[in-house]
Amino acid sequence: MKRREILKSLTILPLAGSMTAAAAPLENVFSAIAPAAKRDLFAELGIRTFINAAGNYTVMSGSLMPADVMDAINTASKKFALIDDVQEKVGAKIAEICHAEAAMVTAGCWSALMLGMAGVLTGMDNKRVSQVPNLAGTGMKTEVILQTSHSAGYDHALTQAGVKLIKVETRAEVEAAINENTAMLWFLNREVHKGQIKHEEWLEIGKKYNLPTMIDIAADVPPVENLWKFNDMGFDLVVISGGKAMRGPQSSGILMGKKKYVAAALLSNNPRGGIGRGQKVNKEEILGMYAALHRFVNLDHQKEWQMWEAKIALIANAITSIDGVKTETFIPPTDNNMPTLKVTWDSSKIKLTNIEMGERLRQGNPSVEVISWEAPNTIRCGMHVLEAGEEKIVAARLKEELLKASVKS
Amino acid sequence: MKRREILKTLTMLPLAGSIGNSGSIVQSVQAAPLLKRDVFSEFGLRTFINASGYFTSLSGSLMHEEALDAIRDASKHFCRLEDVQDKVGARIASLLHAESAMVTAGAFSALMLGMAGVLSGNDAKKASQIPFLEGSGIKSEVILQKAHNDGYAHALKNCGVKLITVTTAKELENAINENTAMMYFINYQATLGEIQHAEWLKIAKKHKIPTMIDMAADLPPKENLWKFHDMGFDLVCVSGGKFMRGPQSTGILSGKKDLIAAARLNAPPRGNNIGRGMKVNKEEIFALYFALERFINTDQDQEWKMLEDRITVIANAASSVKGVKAKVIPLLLINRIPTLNISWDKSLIKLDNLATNLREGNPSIEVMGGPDGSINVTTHMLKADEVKIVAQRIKDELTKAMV
Repeated sequence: MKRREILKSLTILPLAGSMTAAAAPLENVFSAIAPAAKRDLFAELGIRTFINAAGNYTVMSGSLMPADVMDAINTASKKFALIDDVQEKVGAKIAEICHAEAAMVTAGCWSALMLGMAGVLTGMDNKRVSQVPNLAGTGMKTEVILQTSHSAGYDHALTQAGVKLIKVETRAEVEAAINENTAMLWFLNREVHKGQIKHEEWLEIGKKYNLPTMIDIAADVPPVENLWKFNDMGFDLVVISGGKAMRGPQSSGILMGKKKYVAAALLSNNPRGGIGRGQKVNKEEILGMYAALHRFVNLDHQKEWQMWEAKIALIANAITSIDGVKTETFIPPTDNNMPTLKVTWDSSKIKLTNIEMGERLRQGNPSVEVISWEAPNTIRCGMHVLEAGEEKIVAARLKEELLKASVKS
Repeated sequence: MKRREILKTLTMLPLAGSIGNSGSIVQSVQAAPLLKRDVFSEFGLRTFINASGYFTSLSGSLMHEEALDAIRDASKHFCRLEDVQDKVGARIASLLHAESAMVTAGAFSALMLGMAGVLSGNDAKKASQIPFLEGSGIKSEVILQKAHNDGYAHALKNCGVKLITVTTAKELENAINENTAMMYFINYQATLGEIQHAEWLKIAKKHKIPTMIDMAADLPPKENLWKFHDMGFDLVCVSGGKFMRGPQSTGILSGKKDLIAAARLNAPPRGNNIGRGMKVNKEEIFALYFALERFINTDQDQEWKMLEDRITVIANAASSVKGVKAKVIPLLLINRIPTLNISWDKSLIKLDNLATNLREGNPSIEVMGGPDGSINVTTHMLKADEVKIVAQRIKDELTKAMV
């Protein structure tokens, strides 16, 4: 083996004095490389950028980080610090803001779900940490109860910690399903309107049977109060995405709640091994997440809302006079709870499907993404993801495409 | 359907014209940016001079300006994540002599996603079943050498597979069966196992079993980035936040086209899969690419000489104290960086906590603990002006402890 030869040939080299004046070579060799000319990496790689008039979608790269967040990332990049230290100190501040006992920054909301689940299962037992997700024969609990209507795909994150999902509809069914294997009761805030059991009753059942509860509020700010509302209510764990309306790094989220569960979740997370090691967040992201949260809670949310409405009015005004076009404000009630502009058109007057409209806006210059996949002859535009001034471009582009497809009378 | 129900419950607000002169409101009301903040002191975080290494717990490495520029530029625009992975992946692949590549949330994530891709193939349903393989028709065993079972293979277990450990080539051949999903190799443990790269690959080819090699921290030499592709490994995993100095939470999975495509089926932005929690954002993907480019373009020999020269400065300072020995230790396959061991004659110097003293000093310095109370020092994570500080602090502590 080459390596072995290298090892063998390496006698321990006496070093002191073997070099004389070493001052010059100490300078970083990197400084010899002239910084490359400023590159436009999107153009260089041929990646389409677009005006986002849709929303905080993961596929569309989430949100754009504001200056505060970028500053935090930049500052954080300059020095070494212990990752554990960063999680601990930032976690404490986040917890304080959100009325929680403890908090940690995760690699997104999904990661928070999985790590929170792992923490509930393992407690502070490192052996158990190494056993997740293979729970059989370990003595760890294995079942999580949720309402059928809350099983919207994100519950999959919990199963990655090894648990089985037990789905119920009524309170009687929950109580019947609870047994000595029950690890947790899980609630998806977004689907609260669809389930029979609401927050308070869910918590009451959890307390009655001494079971931990977790609520997923991934995209459910604004309102900003949701950041603390569910901690105040008594949920043991709350998980939220950082890269949506809060505009933190896209690959960040927060797990917060009871100290014992957050501390346990940290055991499964980087810099340790275990099920969460692949879900790395770096110090830049952790501090960036905090900066985003800080900015978000200090925003004038009423003004933000008015700004979105004004943008909606501007776009709506540009197109409502077109024959067959109807505009209205649509506010999703729970997740992404921000005003959006819904545009519908009469298909006998405007010959264009919603999918075609989406495609034309996408292919135009500049490229614009809207929500074009929800309903026939309808698109929806999110305002909170627009940068200043972009609403005018969206208005002009919508008008142009609607007019172009209008049947001439 | 969800959306439809939501639609029904909403009163539709007629909006056009409801707000009059909206010109000024349309302008962003974003709060004015806060004053430039020192996040470290604000949080009371101890920062330190890193004379230890690019360890995960020490926050990896510091990114070069190129990587930071990439983060800044990438943050300005929306784009599709899939687009970024496609285009950046193709560039990385060509640099690495691989058919295809993707950026992951670290080497551990690369291990998991590569494993998941091998298990699921191009089948989204199978992807959604991982890590519960029983009854799914998915293969469930991974073979590795006993000497390679060092803890990182936990990543594979997270996908639901069983690890079958073997020692000899004969045992390996016997262990292969219809449930064998993959053969896994850890590069830095190569010298500890009986079976070396070439033989491992030969046996895998014979039985048509995909192979993966983990070389997380095995740079330098930079040639390792393509060596294992050239050799014939189907998947290669490497960390991006170590010597390459990309974002700490990045890594690269590279290899066969069909396997990388399958791995991406298990990764964000897609959901319902084992990888959704392992997010990397566009900023990190771009930054890693820039870091990789820079790493490959760096003069390796010149850099190595710089690291040795720095070691010399520290060694000279330490060994100027009577009773102190400073020696470069043999290179390992992992973290293959010039490393200085500093030890001392305990009858002349009474010091049993040098590492702690350096940590608690001002400025704080992190070093590695060495055998028998000695310390190990590296210089690749130092800024140029920190070399002398480290040398001086070590010398001072040793001098102070002289009997």
